[in-house]
Amino acid sequence: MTIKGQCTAAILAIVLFGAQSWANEEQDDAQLDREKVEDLMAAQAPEKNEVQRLISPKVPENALLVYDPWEPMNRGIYNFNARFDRAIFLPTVRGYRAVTPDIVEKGVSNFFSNLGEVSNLVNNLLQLRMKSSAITLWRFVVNSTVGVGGLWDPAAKFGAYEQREDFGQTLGYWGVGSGPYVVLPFFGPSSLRDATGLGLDYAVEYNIDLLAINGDGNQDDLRSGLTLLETVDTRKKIAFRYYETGSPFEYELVRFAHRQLRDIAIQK
Amino acid sequence: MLTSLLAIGLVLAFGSVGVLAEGKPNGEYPIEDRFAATVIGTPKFYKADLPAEIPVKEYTLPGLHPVPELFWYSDDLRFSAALQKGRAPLVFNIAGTGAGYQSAKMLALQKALYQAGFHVINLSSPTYLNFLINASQSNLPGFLPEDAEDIYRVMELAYQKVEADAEVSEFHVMGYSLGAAHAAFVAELDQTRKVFDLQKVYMINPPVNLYHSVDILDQLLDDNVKGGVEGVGVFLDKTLNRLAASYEPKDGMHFDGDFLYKAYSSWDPSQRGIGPEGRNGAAALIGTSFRMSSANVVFAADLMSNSGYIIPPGTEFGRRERLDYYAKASHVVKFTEYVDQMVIPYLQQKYPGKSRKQLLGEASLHHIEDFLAGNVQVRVVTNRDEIILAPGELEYMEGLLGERIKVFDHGGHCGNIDSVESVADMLAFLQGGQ
Repeated sequence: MTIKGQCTAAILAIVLFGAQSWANEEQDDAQLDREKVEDLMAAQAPEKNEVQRLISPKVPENALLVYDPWEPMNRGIYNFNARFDRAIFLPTVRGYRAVTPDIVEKGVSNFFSNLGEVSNLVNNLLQLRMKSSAITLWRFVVNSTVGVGGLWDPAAKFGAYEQREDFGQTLGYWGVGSGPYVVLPFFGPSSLRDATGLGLDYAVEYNIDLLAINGDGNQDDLRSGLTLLETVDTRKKIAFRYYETGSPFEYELVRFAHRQLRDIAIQK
Repeated sequence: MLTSLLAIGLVLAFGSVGVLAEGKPNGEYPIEDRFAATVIGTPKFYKADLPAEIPVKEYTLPGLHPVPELFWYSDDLRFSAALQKGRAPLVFNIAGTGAGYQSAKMLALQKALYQAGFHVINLSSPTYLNFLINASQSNLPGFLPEDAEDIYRVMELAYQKVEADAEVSEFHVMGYSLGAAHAAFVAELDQTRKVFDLQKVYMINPPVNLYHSVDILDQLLDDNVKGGVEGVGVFLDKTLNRLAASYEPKDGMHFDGDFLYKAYSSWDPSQRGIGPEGRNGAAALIGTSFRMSSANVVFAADLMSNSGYIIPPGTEFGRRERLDYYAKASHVVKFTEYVDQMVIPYLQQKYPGKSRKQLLGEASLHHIEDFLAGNVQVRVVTNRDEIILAPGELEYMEGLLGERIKVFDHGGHCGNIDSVESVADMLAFLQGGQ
């Protein structure tokens, strides 16, 4: 019998024995032998500090594990993001929401989503998703015209929803593995592959330059203003709040959930 | 040209808003499987009509203990309050196991109460990390009489914080799940302390004997996840993939309770409940989520109280500490084991001569049944298919409370908490006789 087997058997025995004694205790309401109970308690108590008993010695094939060789750095950045979020990001979002009517907020969201259709189209094409590419193109045309420069999303009323794809997904589609887990400053959970994809998406949007504002010194203020607005709008749409899960293991939970959701997004 | 395009755009943008409101089915809460109901909650059409947003302010209170470096993000006790402009009754609302003051259920209750004209103070459960660290005297939550002392102290401090902004006519207390039991114990404590002179006590899906309930929830994981706690990773992986199979992110749908309900109702009824080898997927999820709540308590309680159960005493954790080793160990511990091996030894040291059975008995509604039976302003609402009650416990409450218990047919454990009927029952009780 392996050590693991023994541990399992021991825990099982303790649990069964414990449950049994509890059941007995419930059945006969007679005077309890206190000594016996204390002995039982002593038998049940784990040896102090014995982490080893509680986790099996060999780490089994575990879907909860995510490759994270840069964990100390990632944790540092995660904490930085949490502080930044609490001190600057969320107050800014709150301020934005307080001064902006809902309909304007919606328009802003739609406007940036519409600009994002460029990278959606590029990535749908790169993944040979012809139907999604057609929908994306149709959305872009309809929303830019009927939707007044993308402020409204009439295409969605016709059932043409956003076909969101990014470069990380494209790389994944062509078989690139996610690589190590990375927490990016400001952006949050990612992976080496997805972080690379993020850079490529940005490069595409920058070079296509839909609003024709790049490389023109006179438009610098407008450009920074739009970037800021887009950032605030993006944060507004994400419900996640750092350290509200109530779990001391939030970093691990987020890492697991993020990886799962990315994998699903790539399969779809 | 431009104006006509604009007009078309406007019509398209707003023309179809009304469509969603149609086709509202009549009738009661629809999910008949108690585990599925617990996981999915209330589908949109059956939810009470609540405002999207209400003015809520967050507050902090200084903690009782020095906070370890690892918990740097949780260095004050937090709670929230939604206050009316004028004079109104104030409801203290207590969260369930592992839930904070801003959890989805708590927000729904806060909105419903605020909309009906109450001041509402939302408090985290003593089993929620932020409360456990900052407001639990022992750092070992789970023993109802001591939890009630902790909550009562927080209620006093919280009221002092909002006193200047809230004109209060009278005080009520309520909670769901573990928070419902806490509400009852707090109200009983108020009989002697008399700080608030609490008028009404509303309990949603309470446990009767806490130990029985956590035992049932512990067991759900073992019975429904293949391989027990070791199998949780594989189970979550499979579940997410199965859900993803019926989820098309590009259809403009969101991954939320309504999606789950849609997925659930589209599955073949014969496959909904029991899976291979008699396992129930929804029950497995409940067991897993409960085990996660309990792991949080085990780890935080051990670190804060220096019990040395899984963390060697004196261990200093830095902010960037790898925790997966401890995460794993914490998840192996059942809540009943936490009670038996951390809480009971602490209590026996504090109250020498009390047996385990006596102590467990004190953490039960039986212990305050005279108060519950004699007080006409106590009301319980629960479900016929509640999962956390042991056999006979529902009948016990019915016998004890008579007219003052409302039992819905379906909803599992708190699945119907924000349904039309549930919210109506809550408001009718709290507003009645004013």
